[in-house]
Amino acid sequence: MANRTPFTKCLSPQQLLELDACTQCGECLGVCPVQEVTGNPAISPPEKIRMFREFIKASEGLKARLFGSREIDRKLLEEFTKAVYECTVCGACGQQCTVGIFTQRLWPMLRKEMVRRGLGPLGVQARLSEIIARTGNPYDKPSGERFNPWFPEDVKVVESAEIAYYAGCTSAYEAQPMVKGDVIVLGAIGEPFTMLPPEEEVCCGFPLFITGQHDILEDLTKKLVCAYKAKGTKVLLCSCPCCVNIMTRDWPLFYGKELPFRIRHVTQFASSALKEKKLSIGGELKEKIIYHDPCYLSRGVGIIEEPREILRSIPGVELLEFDRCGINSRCCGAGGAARKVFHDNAIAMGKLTINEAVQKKADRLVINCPACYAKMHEAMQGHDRQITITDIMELLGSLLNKARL
Amino acid sequence: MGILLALCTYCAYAIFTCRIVWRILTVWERSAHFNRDALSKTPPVTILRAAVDIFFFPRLFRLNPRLWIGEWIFHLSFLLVILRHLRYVVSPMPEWVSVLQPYGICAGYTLPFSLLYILAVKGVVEKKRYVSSFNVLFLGMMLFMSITGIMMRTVVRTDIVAIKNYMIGIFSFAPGILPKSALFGIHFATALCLLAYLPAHVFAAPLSVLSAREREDGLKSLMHGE
Repeated sequence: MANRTPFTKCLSPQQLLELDACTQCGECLGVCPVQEVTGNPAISPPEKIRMFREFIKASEGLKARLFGSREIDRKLLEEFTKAVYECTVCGACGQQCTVGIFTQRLWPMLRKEMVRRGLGPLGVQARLSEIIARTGNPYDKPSGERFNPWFPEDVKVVESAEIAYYAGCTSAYEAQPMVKGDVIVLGAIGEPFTMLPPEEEVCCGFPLFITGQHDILEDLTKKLVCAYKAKGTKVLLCSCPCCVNIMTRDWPLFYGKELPFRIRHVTQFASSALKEKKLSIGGELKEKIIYHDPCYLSRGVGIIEEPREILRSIPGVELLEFDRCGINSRCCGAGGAARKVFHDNAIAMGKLTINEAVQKKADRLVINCPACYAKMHEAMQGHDRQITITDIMELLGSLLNKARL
Repeated sequence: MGILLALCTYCAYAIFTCRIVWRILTVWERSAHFNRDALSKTPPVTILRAAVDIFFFPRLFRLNPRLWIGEWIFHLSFLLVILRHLRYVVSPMPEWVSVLQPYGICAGYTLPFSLLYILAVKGVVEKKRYVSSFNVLFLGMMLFMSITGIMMRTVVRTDIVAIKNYMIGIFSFAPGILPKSALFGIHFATALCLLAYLPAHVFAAPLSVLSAREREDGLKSLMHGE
């Protein structure tokens, strides 16, 4: 594609306004996790916006319309592409933005434009679309291994029910204690729930969405929505924040209308069950616990209190908070599908979170996202400051088991 | 010289208008590709809260109170100075413009100090890693313009009747004689440069803030509504 063709094809009117709205104040650099570990202002949010504005100006600005567009240097475009893919799309910059730019959706759209121009995605991300189309998941794993290795034998899944559970690819293949905890808790609550067969539970589309590869998103969404609809689903539960985020915010757009069911995070369901006494914790845990808010769950869809309610309901637990928590949480480094391409950045960010947890004298770091779970464990390897890392539902499930025993 | 400056004024306004119209057209062109029905009706309470966000910059206050005070005084002063200057282009002068004059004069003095404060906070105190060269140039030009404005009022007093006649002449497309003040010429030429290159965020930021307020107010209902 010529480097003088329009750059606004993938942007919504709102996003065009947001590009104009950036005051270039640079305040977001203080909360950007990539800036924290690289210290490179050339890949900062305002610089990306400035560069993209220049591309728009050169290709379809007023002068370009009147006197012809200007060819943009390929090297500059490649530098921009690297900058926009090095971002973890955690949205902290947008949360702190003085003019409220919704960066959790702006960056993926800028990536989509780079994909359209043949410049993105980067590294292993480039094969995602083909792998997902072939195997139904981004990890190139057979569907037969999706549930079998971790699904507890004593938990019953019914053929059809109003409540359905979606495990998600990262959870099922890379953070199995997490999904095992989910189904143990769902089983203990006792309300019948259904699941799709492993070959039908395909990727929610988030890895493709976040890397700007939107070709098969509509197909994936329709396939999943129709499958759950056929099972009579009224509430779809999921624990992966990335899945929950795309299901809530973007599935209705790809599906073309309102979803025939509601999306709920599994901690919402568990927290309600605890309040309604459908679930009881028998064990005690005399520990200081620190909870890490996943970006796509807290500032993404506003799930902040429910995980804390669960943790506070565990007898003996003292709940600590990170300096940046809730809607202002700091990215663990796993976001934006950057963790496998910019590995060192991701590990450095993970270590920042671990260090703060250790500094606050926490006994346990509680996670609520499979990508955070996998990356934090990786960042912990060989780290001089060790701390136990547990998923929230893994923890809750283990305490319920103790109670049963 | 008077005719030349008048022509520059028309050019500056033409550039300003074309930039705004082009931006509106670009956004409008894109809106044809998106589902307009998806736009929800904004509740009045959200609009009210957005207005507070736009006028008082609480987002910046939460993030950087030290910078906030400078930015807020700067924006308020700038607004008051602009409104005060309406007396040079509107005849007869409306009552509310007369009422604003003392505040506008006061704002004329706070404007350069707030600009110096902002530059000092960003450049010296906080030593920001990211500084937009366009912003620095723009703030510098505003500082220069505000200082020349103060000088015309205090050091080299200028015949404001002659200025008003000249300005009215320009806006009625019958430019008259340029007042005999080099300072006025420089002050006015700087203002024209600023008008032509006024940053787009002046218009886009309030809309973005409104959208952010809608999003934040709707966040709770996203996963908690029925």
